[in-house]
Amino acid sequence: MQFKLRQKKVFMFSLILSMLLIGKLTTVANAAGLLTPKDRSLPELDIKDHHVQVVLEDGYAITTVDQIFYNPHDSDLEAIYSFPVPDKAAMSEFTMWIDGKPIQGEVLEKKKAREVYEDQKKQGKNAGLTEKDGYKTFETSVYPVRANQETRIRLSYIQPAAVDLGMGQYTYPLEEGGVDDHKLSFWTANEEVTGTFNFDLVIRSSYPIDGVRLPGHPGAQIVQNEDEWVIHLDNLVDHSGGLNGTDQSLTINNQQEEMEAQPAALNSNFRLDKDIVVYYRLTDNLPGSVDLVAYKTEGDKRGTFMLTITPGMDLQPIIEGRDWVFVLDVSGSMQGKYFTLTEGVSRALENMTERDRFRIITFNETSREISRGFIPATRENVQTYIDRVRQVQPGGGTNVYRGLQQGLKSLDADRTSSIILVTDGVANVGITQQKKFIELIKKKDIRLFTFIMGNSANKPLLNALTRHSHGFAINVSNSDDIVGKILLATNKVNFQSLHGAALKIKGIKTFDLTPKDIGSLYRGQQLVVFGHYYGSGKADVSLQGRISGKDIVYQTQFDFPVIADQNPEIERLWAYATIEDLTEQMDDFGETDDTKNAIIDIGLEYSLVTDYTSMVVVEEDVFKELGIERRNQARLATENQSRQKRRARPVQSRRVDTGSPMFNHNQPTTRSRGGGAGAIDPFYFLLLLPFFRGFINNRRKR
Amino acid sequence: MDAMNNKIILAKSIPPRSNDRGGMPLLKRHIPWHTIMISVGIILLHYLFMPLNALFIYNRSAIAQNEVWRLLTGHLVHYNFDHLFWNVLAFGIIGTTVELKSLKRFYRALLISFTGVGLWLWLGAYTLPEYSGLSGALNGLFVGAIWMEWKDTKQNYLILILLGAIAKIIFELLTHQTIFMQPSEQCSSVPISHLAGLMSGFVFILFEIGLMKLKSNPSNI
Repeated sequence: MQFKLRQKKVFMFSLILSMLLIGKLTTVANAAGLLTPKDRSLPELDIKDHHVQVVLEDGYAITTVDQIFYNPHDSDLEAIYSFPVPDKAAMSEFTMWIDGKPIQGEVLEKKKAREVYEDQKKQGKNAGLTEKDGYKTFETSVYPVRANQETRIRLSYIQPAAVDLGMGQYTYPLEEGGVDDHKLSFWTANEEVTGTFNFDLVIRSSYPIDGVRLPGHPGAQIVQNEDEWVIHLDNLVDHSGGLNGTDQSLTINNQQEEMEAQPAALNSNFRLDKDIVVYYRLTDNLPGSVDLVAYKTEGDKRGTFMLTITPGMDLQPIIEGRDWVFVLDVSGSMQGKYFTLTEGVSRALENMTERDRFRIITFNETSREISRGFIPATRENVQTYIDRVRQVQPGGGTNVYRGLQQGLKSLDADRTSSIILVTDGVANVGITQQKKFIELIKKKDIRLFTFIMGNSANKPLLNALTRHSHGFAINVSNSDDIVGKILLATNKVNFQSLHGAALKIKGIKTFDLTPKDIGSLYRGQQLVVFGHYYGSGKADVSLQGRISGKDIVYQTQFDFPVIADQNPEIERLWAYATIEDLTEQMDDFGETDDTKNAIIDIGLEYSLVTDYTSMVVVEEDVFKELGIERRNQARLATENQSRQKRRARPVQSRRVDTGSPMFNHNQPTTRSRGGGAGAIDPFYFLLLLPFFRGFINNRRKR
Repeated sequence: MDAMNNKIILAKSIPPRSNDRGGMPLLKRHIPWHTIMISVGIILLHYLFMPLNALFIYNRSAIAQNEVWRLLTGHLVHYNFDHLFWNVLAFGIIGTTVELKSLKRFYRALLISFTGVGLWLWLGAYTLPEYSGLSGALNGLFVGAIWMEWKDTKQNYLILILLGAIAKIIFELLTHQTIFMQPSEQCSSVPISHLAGLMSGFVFILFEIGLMKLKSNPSNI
């Protein structure tokens, strides 16, 4: 008996210890920076300068990062720079300065690229390599950084820039989530920029912008020119002129911002440990619209296009009471974010009506229901359960499956139910296979809405889950207005949505469209479709779907151009979107040679860094020696030329449905978020008119 | 006996309603200047002084930060043309009937309705982040107008109209729908504001009856 008791105590002690250890491990937050093995046998390098230039125009952003590494030691060293994979980013350029000359990288199959890099390194020659580590990080290896010398590199990536509820967002991701235990146990990161740090963003929008804001960087300088907004941030000077990051008091949902203010750094080292998040807000009362950006040079039979549909649909507020299940991650990595999470959840709960009901489930290694069944969302109940959520102490690993499993229990078949999953992590405890998750979510008729916090969460898994349940996922940076984001999302789901959305294009032959399956379009959501087309001329374009079970078609007509040579980047954006589609197929149905080869082929043709292709830089003559075609160099030359031409001309409108508008309503914004209004309707006048007539008659009699 | 005498004397001393504004010039008696001025003000606010709308709208978080004027001014702000047009039209009709009977009662009815609806929304509709428009308060003014007309004419159809208004509000509250109007992209109907207006109308009636009693019995003053 005593032995059993002792055994139990030992077991409990081990359990607590291991939970503490896991908790400790997962609380470390990493950042973008130079990686150095933890054993400290090798000395650290410095990031001397870090300059970021971003141009956001025509519906996509091009980010260029110029860096200089410095080796203060007496021996040559290898630098490994790691940074989080930006959302939907197609890595298009890796340039390394060798003997003072910039050499642009070329894309090879991942294994081959690694072999070339290692081989050059062995020979003591200059070489660089950029690889993608799944959904988590891009890693750039540079060899050698000569003793007491500098090495300069440049990285560029392109990503679509969608607007949601009239609010655009650009995030320069720097913070890793600290969820990769293997990496954390091996590497330390030096994220300090010892020299200069610059961040310059130019927004050139044909739709008027009425505010720009950087919630986490109030020291940023914001200048509005005639047709562009310029945002500048550095660690050098005190910006006394222009607006600063908070002067343009732009908040999501007009909520007062409660972000922690950071004073501007003056002549101090800049740390690459916090995302730079920029919001820009379009003016109100903009019409629903269709924008077309195409690329087709003279003589080309095939063109590439990006079609951006900003719906102005008459989506009505949902007034029936609904059930909400909050499934909240309380694992160790949520420490530091948990308070903000509880604030967001409490605001979401406060926004519910008394007809709604809610449950709250927390999970780390295991799951726990705080609410004990569905609770009516009365003011008292909301307050009681918010207080209980606030008392939870985050810690331990992340068993997302258990949390979801418990969330899916005890649903009421007579009521519409939705799950709001908030997590920052990787499913690292319990069931972790994507297939099992999808089987689980498909068991119930429920919509899943996911808030993916930070840059290292398992986005493919969470995106797949929301896709299969016809919900949506929202990425939230730790430097974001998290409360605003949660309110924005709850605002979306409180309105009808367009289900089973499908895009039809007639009159022009289009193919290779991506995404293949649009799914549902929620209030304020833009639809961005990439594809190829043959020929040119008039096309009939329709967006079809169902709103509350009723079929609805939105139509327009516009021209696909004969020649359009201003936006060559569209080709890479199409390629990346197609690779994303293929990756989703692999995640859902498993890896096949066909899909893998398709990704490799597209990666090589369009020079993109993918899970199966990497970008390598070697000395110019080595490219020739190894027979590596300079395909990316040629593509970059075209892209740079077009970029300079675009910059020199005024901003151009890409709207194509002006002559035949696809939508009758304006696009919704964060400010048209379901405020209430008294409605005087015809019935009211049925009462008023006899009354008024009687009044007039009586007056006459008197 | 004294009380009886008082009643007789007072009954004689209260002038008939039609003589209320008997001494006024013709234009003043037949044209509801105040209703027109308020309507024009609301229209100007919508079209010419747009930035003020953000300051005037009923916004729960702003009121919580001591911007209490929004409880009253929110009624003057409208979301779009349709919202403005129908509300101002209805206000024109109801306001005219009340104003031409008694200007003081017109303003008392407006004040009670504006305050009543604002306070009701603040105390009872904590999930409503924003509200705007005249219609909640119009229900109060309408109840007041019906009562004033009934008091003068004692016609039964007025009771039917009042019952119709109550039935409409009950329908809206039970179904969360308006009878004809569908909620729009920008805003949804708030039936509770109509109920609040209706109740404010009854508060106005009680207030007026109390006032009349006070006036009719000077010893209570």
